[in-house]
Amino acid sequence: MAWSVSCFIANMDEKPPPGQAARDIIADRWPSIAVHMQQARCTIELELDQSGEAPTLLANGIRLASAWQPEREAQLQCGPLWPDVAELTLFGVGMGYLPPLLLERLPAGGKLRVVLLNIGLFDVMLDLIEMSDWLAHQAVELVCADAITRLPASFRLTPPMLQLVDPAAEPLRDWLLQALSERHMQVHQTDVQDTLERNLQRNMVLHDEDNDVAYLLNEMISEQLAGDSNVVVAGAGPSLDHAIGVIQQLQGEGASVVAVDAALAPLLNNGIAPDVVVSIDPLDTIKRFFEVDRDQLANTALVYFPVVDPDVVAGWTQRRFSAVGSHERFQSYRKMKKSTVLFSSGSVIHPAVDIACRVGRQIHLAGVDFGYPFASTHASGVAVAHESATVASSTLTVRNYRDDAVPSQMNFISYYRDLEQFVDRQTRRGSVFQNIGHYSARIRHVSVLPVAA
Amino acid sequence: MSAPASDDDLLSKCCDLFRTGHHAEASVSLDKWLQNWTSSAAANPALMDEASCKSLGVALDCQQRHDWIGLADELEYVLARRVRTGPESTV
Repeated sequence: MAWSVSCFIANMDEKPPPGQAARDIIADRWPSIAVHMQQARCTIELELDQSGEAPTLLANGIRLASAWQPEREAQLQCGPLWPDVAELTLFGVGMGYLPPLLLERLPAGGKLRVVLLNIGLFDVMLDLIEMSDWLAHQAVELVCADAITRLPASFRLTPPMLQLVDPAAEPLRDWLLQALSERHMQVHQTDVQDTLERNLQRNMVLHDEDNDVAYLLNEMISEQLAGDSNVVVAGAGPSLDHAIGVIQQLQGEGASVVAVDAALAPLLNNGIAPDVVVSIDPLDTIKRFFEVDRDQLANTALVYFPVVDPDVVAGWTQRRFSAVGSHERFQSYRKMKKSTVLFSSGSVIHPAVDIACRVGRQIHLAGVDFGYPFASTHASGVAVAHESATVASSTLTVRNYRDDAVPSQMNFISYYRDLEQFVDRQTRRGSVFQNIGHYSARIRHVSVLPVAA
Repeated sequence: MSAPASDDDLLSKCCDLFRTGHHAEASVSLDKWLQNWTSSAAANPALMDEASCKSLGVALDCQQRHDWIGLADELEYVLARRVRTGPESTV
């Protein structure tokens, strides 16, 4: 590299600030970003780290680049570029190792879109590290994170920046984390593949005998023909405990209640018998969710995916309805009989929300946390609920309606963002969403009921 | 005294995954490497000298605060070099 981190840090006292040239370029080429930078405040603590052979920076204790071989690391992060890639997006600048390398590899006439994940930190970095050259390059387009509405086909990233994003960049951060963990999640899926296949085989007869969920949906729609129907979707997150009173009130006023299987016990413990309980998990641990007082469930229908543990399906003596997801594993089932495809990308809350959208217009979410508020895993009364310091120390977070960063985990974040996109589509189709709890995950287009705090 | 080549490859792959943001996959590789390293150290206690233990402690600290680049650096450029060259050498 043509610059030295320590050299710039040593020159911090110079006037004008070392980053002025870079700021002038930004003001000239991207004036709106210059305005953002003037308004941004860097809340991240930076520290020079000279423990290795190359000086580097720690941002909130996170090393931004290797202290030993940062150039080799940057080459690795650049990865291979295909010759036909004319447009490439880089997420996060960090110490600025990647933009010059990517520009070198970009074909003539290509474009490099550089997305700022933390504007305040980038502004501070300009005074520490020379970035004028690549900022002045004609191929570079500098953009803010909120300008990105979906992940591009080709992108590279500065990984440490994922832990240092501005709140406005959190959805983007989660999509990136999703993309990065995709391969790992697929491997994990193969671990449960045997169970899935076995359950699919064993449930075939029941699935054939049971009515499709479409029957239930039609029934619920005709019961709620008034039009402005309210449906509560009860997840099993810890915040469900705080929503019980509102659910009781809404149910008393005629709202339907669609619950995920894990929420059965906490609801029944509070005298709320759901109209529908949804189950899609292949693991036999869910049997414990059904160890409840069945007398209260006389009018509750089970909606299940045929991957569910067969004992759970066979053990449900009330009305049962089958449905499938869009995954190819359900193809043989769809050939066998016409089956309604419910939205699901892995979480049982997805088909529960889909059912609610199909039968109602005003959807009230409860216990939909995608994280561990109150350092708990589930609402009180859920068989597998426990407090866990381990999960609470996670640096993966989701933001709730109180603006707290709530500890979470990767698959929850993935489910959360997929639900957010589903809600986005449903909102455009006329559904109106409200969240009952302020401790739940904040979902775009879902307001929060002002009465519940 | 030197670690088997396959362990070097495993660690290198693991660190590359950490450096490119694939933390979940990297953690699985790290677990395997640590198991191998622990076995090697059980057979050859000299591998578990004070400096190596200190380096492992630094790596653990990095892991706890999710400083993945710091973790990869410590494993690749401090601990592995020490394992490769033997405890009597300094890095």
